[in-house]
Amino acid sequence: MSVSVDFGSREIRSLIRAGVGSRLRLAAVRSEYLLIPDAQAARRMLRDEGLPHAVCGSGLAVFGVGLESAEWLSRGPAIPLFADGRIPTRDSLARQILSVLTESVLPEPSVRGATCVVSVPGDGLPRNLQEGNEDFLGHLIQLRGYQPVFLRSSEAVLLAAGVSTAFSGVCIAAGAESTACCVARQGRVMAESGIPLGGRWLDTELAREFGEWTWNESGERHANAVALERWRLGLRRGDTGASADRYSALLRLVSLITRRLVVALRESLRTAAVDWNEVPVLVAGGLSLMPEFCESLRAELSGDGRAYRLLTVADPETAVVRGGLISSELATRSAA
Amino acid sequence: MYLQRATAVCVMLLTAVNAVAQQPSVSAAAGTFTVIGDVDRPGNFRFDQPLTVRAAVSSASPVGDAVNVTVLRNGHDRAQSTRLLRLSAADSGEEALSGDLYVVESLAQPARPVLPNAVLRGPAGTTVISLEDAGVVIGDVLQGLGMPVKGEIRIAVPCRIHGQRSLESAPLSASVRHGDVITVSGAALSPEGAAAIRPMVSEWRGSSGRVADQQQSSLRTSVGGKQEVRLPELPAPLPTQPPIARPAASAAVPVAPATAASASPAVKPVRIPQGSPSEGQAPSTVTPQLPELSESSAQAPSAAESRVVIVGDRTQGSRRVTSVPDDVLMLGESLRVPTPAPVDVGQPPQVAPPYRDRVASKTVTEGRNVSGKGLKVPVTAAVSTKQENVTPTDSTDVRGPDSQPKEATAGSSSTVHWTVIVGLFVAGVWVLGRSLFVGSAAAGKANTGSMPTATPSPATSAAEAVPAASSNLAPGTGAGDTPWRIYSVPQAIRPAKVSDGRSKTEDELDLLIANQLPIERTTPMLPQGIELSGRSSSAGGQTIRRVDGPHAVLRGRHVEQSDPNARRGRPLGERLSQLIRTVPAGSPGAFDGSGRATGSSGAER
Repeated sequence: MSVSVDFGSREIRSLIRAGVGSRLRLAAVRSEYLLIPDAQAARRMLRDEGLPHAVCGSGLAVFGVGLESAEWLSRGPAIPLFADGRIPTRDSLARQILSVLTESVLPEPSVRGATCVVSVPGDGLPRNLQEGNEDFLGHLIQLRGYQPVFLRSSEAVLLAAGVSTAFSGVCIAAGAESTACCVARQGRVMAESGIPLGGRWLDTELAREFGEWTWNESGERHANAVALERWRLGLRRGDTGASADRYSALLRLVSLITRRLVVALRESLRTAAVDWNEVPVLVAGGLSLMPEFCESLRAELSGDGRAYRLLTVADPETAVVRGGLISSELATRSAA
Repeated sequence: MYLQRATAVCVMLLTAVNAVAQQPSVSAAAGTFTVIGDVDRPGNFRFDQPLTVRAAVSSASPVGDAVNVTVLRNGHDRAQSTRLLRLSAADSGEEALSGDLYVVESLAQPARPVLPNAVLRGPAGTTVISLEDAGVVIGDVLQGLGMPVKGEIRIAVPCRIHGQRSLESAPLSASVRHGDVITVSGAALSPEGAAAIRPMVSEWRGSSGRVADQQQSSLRTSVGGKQEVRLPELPAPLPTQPPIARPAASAAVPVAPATAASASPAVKPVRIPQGSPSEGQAPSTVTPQLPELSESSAQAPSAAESRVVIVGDRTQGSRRVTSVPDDVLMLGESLRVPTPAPVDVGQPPQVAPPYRDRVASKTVTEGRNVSGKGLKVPVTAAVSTKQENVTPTDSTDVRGPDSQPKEATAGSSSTVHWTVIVGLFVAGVWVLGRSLFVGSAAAGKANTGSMPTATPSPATSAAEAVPAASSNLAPGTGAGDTPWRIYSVPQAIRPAKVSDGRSKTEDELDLLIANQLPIERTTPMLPQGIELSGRSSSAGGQTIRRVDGPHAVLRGRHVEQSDPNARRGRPLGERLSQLIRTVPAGSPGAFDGSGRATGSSGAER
């Protein structure tokens, strides 16, 4: 049995292979929760609809797969479990929900202490903060009966998509809260870097810039990043639905991300001291689904005298968890 | 002369009555039921005596003393009830009905391992399957049973155990779990496909259950209304390992699945062999269905509907039956052949043609036999020439359509006399046929156990079949069928792959790295209404981050090498070294000229 978990800032995903000949099973839940007022009507609605929820001191907390169905019950936006890519150290409710979600995506291990490869958020954070994430999430994995082995998301992308480049090149995992990249040669990571900017930052900035606000029951104002995210994802289907200035603002913000990313990437290449004539760049993560991101990245990469070959990974949203499963399989083989 | 004829008729009547009296009484409670779930012996079971639900469940050897039993009645898509049964306690006496499906869920942790099993209910019946590995999905089941999945079919999982939610509409990729009840319906389920699912007499009535009930009651009335005749279920012991592909035409389907019209649990198709089959004619296979013809369609049927249709009941008056089990023809009824087609009588098939072809050939043969003597002739016996495993010696006193018209026309010199004679004769024949109808119960019972063999022998006689059947049957409960073994497709399609020195694990690792293994998305089970302590300190907003700050974190040359095993296990490169190989362009996992991956895309999932 091979298991991997990707604690993404947008979704928590697990990929499981029960054994030889069995299929891969992907379970995913949103890594957010929603607070709604505790009312009998709301409880009845949640119960009738079969939406997973919990009763807490703040009202009713809805989480997991039923989040979209209950959004209309709340006036506030969904609360991310990994705000800024960090473990919610001050939010005890979020930590409990995190535990519940971890249990839901992870089955009971066939063998106590089985290896589970884990990717944690916050690749762009300082090392001490990232280790804090690993400690907390690793403890949740241990409570489920697994032995966690951590894998950076960029390395997971290397495993998931690097077979065509002999596991060499630059791997970028552009997530919701951060973007990580690494430089690898023949499967060996030579340098790695990251920036704490991702798709959610993009949406939040757009919401602030264009006044997309929501007000909760207390009258507090919040940037409606969810609405901007839907608009941004709708761009892939050709549904712009907005004015040209919003789209130009999006391009500007994307360019900001890619510019900072390329700076970090070039520094990594310098550190790794590779002398490739052509640098393969594997791009995965939710942000890579935007054509604007890849075009902006290609534009930023040009002009330094190197040749880059930009490669978009198939099924980029699950690339990290797939890479984690490959790592788990490799660990199993190595142990055998 | 009249006196002689009247005497002859009386003799016939007495003989028939005597024959009726000598028939063994048939139990009113007979049929099959199915038990799956946390039991040692999941399968279909036959019973000939009244049986309680607890006894029925016990016959499958539940793994625990206290079990939850979910009951799905015949013809219903959903569970009717769930009850707690304690095997060590007194029996409540609730009677098991034919066609019941019992899903057993042990309340305690099973003391011994249970082979994962499930059941498929479709137009052709109830098929118990054993899940041979953990990756079985519904598509694997349909493929393993040889069922076509093309076209629109509706799949649901209306009943699951161990707290799993039922699925109103299940995709083919939905995983099959232990104790699942899968229902399949849809227009794409052709008779061939249905036959391939389950070569046994069907218990499934589906949406036509009500129609079948009506026909059942009318059939009971037609046989006198005094006693209810229930014919024993034909057995269907399954081969230990069913073939994945459909059986060839020569490997005849032992017993065809009954259609909705013939799937009444109480009255089963009576299988009376033809009295005088065409000499040298090879036994044909049971017809799988009888199209339900309306009156207009009976008048002008299509080629596909060229079947023997009962259009009336002369002895019973005005009842009109437009659809009956194809093996049952009531005595004293008119026989209409809609479209007698020319057929080469002298060339019986030497080799059994495919399923539908056999049906067609038999149909036109019957049409030729009757139409040659004139339409609407009274018949004297139920005729079924489609029984595969019954020899002609079983039915020496049954007259087929060939013989009866000859007798009827032999002495017809006067119309009046002929009418009287025919009337008396029909009355006598009705009684005789009634005895045959009842007597066929014994014939049906004699057929038990003679069916499914890998190479069915047409010459297998009922006498040979009886000991085999009896040896397998308990006094009240038949032995369960062996469930069909279902594997997941990757294992099923590669069982005999020639080894190239690499293990299957290595092969699948290659597929995994190339992103070629299909991913099945599952919905996590999350709790509802739980109580969590504390309050949320987040208001939903996010802290403001400045993009011009020193956010980028750069790490040195493989910083994890300083502590390789603490958090990340062995270095990645060490584990990857054996995997590095060049992938040719166009192969899975490679990228095309535009930088897009050529492997499976996310949209495919």
